[in-house]
Amino acid sequence: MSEFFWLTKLSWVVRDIVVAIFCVAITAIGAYTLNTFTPYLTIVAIILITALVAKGNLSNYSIWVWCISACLVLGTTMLGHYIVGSDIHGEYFVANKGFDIDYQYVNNTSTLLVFVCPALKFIGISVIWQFKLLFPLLYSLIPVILYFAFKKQMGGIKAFYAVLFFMIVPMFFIEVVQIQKSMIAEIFLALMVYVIASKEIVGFKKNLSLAVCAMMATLCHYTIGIFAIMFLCGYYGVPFICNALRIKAIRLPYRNIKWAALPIVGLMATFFIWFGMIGDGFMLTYFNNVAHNSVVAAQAPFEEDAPIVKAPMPSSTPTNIVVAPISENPRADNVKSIGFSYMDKQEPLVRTAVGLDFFDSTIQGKAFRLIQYLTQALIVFGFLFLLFKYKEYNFTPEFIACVGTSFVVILCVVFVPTFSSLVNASRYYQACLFFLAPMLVVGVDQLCKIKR
Amino acid sequence: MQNKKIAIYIICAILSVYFIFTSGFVFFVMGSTTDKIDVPYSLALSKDDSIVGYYTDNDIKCAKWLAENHGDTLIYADYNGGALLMGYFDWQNTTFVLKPPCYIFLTEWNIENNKMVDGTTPGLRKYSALPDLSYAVEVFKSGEAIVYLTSLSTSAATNITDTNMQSLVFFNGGGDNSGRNYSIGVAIADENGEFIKYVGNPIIKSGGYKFDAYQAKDPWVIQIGKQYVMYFKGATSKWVDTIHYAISGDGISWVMPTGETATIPAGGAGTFDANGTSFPRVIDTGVVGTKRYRMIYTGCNAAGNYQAGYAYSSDGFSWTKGANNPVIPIGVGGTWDDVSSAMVSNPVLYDGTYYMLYGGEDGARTPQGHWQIGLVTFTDFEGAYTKYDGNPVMANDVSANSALAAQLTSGTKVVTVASTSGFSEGQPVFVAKGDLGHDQFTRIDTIDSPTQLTLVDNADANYAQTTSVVVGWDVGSIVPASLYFNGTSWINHYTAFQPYSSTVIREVSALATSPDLHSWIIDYANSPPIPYTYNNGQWDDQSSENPCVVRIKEIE
Repeated sequence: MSEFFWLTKLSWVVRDIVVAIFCVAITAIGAYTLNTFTPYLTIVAIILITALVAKGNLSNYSIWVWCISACLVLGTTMLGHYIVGSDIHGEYFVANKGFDIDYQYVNNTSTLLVFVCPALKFIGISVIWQFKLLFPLLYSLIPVILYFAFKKQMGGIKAFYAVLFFMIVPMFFIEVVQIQKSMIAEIFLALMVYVIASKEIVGFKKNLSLAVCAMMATLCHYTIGIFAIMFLCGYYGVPFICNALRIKAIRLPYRNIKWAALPIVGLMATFFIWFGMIGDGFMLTYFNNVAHNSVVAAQAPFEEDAPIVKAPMPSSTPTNIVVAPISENPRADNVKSIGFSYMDKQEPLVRTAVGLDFFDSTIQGKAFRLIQYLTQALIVFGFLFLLFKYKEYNFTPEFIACVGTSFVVILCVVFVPTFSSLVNASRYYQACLFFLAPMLVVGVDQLCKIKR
Repeated sequence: MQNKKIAIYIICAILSVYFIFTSGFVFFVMGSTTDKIDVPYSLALSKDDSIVGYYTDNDIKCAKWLAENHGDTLIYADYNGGALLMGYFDWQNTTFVLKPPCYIFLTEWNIENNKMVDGTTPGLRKYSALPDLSYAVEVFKSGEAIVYLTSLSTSAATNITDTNMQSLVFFNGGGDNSGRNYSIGVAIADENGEFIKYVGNPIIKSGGYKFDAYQAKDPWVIQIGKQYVMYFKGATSKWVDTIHYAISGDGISWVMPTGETATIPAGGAGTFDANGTSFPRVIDTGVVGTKRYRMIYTGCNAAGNYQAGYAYSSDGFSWTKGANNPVIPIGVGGTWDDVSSAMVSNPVLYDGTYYMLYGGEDGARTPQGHWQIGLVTFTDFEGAYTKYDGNPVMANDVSANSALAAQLTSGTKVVTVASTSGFSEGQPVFVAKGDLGHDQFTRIDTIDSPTQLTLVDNADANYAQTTSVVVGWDVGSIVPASLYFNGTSWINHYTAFQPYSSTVIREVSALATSPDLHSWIIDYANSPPIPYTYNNGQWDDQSSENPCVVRIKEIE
């Protein structure tokens, strides 16, 4: 009986794997051949999987997570015969060129692009296929990692939907897939989440794992490195504060805090040595400028005539290519009537996120905003519920600390002038969803209990 | 348990609706515009839209072509085209100058939709019209993706008809006794008609390509559309001459659309131009058709004879050599042009006949020969070319040559020579040491006696008696360059070179006028028309020759 049970279960796993691979293959081939119907099939398939999971007809969630993830990612990256996107072309240039310590170019600071890509090219994998297939396939594993991280804390089916939410936010399959260094760096960020969520990995092992993941993420992409620093600060800092404030949900024994030096010092050392070494440390100058501008802009955030502060950075656009026509500050035009001049210093999506462009949007835009705000509200509710009902779940205090940190980051994006210009506001949101995505599920879960 | 199930259904419903939006389905179905994206889009569903950096194979081919050929020239592209090019260019090694000359890169999307994409903020796109391509030259095409090259902006196009721009002279300068380092410069006529050299010369410097490693010289410039086109000769490090072209909107900034590819390549073995092509002279007949543009150029055969050949073109860029080359063959043995008959002026149409000057070489001088100027006429470029019976119509002035009868001391300008009979007041001359180690370019101020003359400039060194000489700048050889008729006289801008030795270059421009093309009067006062100062450290202090006078009104 027992053997039959396992054989049956194995056959179901095999079936699910075959179907998942089939779906991914169809999506990839359809995209490569520019088949018109494949994107619709993919959308239908994902909604179908979502429904079947809800109904209980599918059980091997991790397989279906990967299936959805890979379909979404490859549906974009496999389009046509060439690499797809904007920033990706600068990466393509550097990946073919290789490392040059004097070269002042953001892509030249990514170890993935300057070392790994040339090495893979050397063994016969063209840079185009690295970008179209290899890295996207690795990237598609991030939701799987997150699924296992969330599963430990809220169970399989809730983890599935938490990860589903993470995946269908467009930044995951539209924006990040055009930035190879981000794709790989986010794998390390996902591993950090897994380590933070894990109760099996503890003590020195945990701190060492976090340090390695954070450093690897930083070496792949400075943006993700900054996120790693933020989360590590939250990971160690928030519990320290909560201990002082006696907030039970996030209180930690002090022994964890003493290990903070390892990842933080290691990460900062990596950061300054690596970025200080390349191109006379031009990236450090850039970070310094962003911080400086934030302080300057924060001194007069609501002045109507406050100038837009931009952080000068070596352009990511080739200077021998004249992009035409040169537009004149369209952002300023968009926000002039709003009356919040400090918004001039923020990414346009910040306005969207806080609802300032709601009445200017189209009907479908309004509909989308309503459901977007619903998800945001559910995330907030979920976090608030979690603080008071953390015993109903299995979240680690460190994970809850990072959820809190994510909220702080998002508040900074909205309210700290020029902070959002460091990376796009959408990227901040996507990075925070590594921790915030489960809060949506918690929010719905708890609201349903209130109803009853 | 029931709560949990309800919660799952609610989450499933919320996320499914959310996904309908985030998948781009709503954006695509509602036909949303890309200049105000307020609903998420999808690359998969919107691959034909401007928001996506999706490229065809032909776009890629154009980008690769630009990567190999653009050199330091700017490339004008829209947001998506510019992004594609980022994969092929080192953006830090060039200077950002937002003005032509530049390439224009249009992707197949640009052509199909007849517009450019402007990336304003992340995700947002606006559109603009394609640039005015009427003054651009198509240099590469793959499918519908096209690379143009333009040399001017609209403002520069206005300048070209400005009266101040109507008289330019292009010339080549530089060079040394090894024959290397020739580059091309420009001078602009001031209100008195005197040419003032452009301070940014040279405008085309040799060594930029393999084909002009040693020389960029013999310029000839015409106007095609709203831009200048320069035909010139490049010489490789193996002394292979070929004709190329460059284009410009202002006469100053030039780009070479075809790179190393020659406009008039050397001919095959046994042909009159098997060893190279040079000295192009082009006219626009104005007759639209396959032979609108006509070129007379110089070919060098395997034996080293230079002879004039003919080529034609419909657009001024793609040329076909004539079937009856050489059109001006060398003369029979013992005549004045029995070694070479080439280096022509531009042909001038007058009363139904083309008149053209050409250089004839005999074997009286080695290694560079002895050149004089002859006249040839024809009525049809592909018909018979008739040499004037009285050729040469202009000879080098052999009489202006005398040894010093006393040392010329540095700082003085009075010269005692064996005889002053061959000299004229105002005549440009060289004072040269006998060992060829030093010379000076100056002008005769006055002829004081049969053996004494006064120079305009003080001697810059001591010149020894007997071994040193005073020679007219046109004593050695002369060849034509530009010819035109001003209504009353024919004007010949030409080159005088190698005045006192066939191994010392010293090529200097000269000016002569004629009422009938047969008898010529050298204009000493206005020679050299291109200002020349020997050995002043400038790029053209050895040679400043081959004046190509561009007169816009005549071209029009």
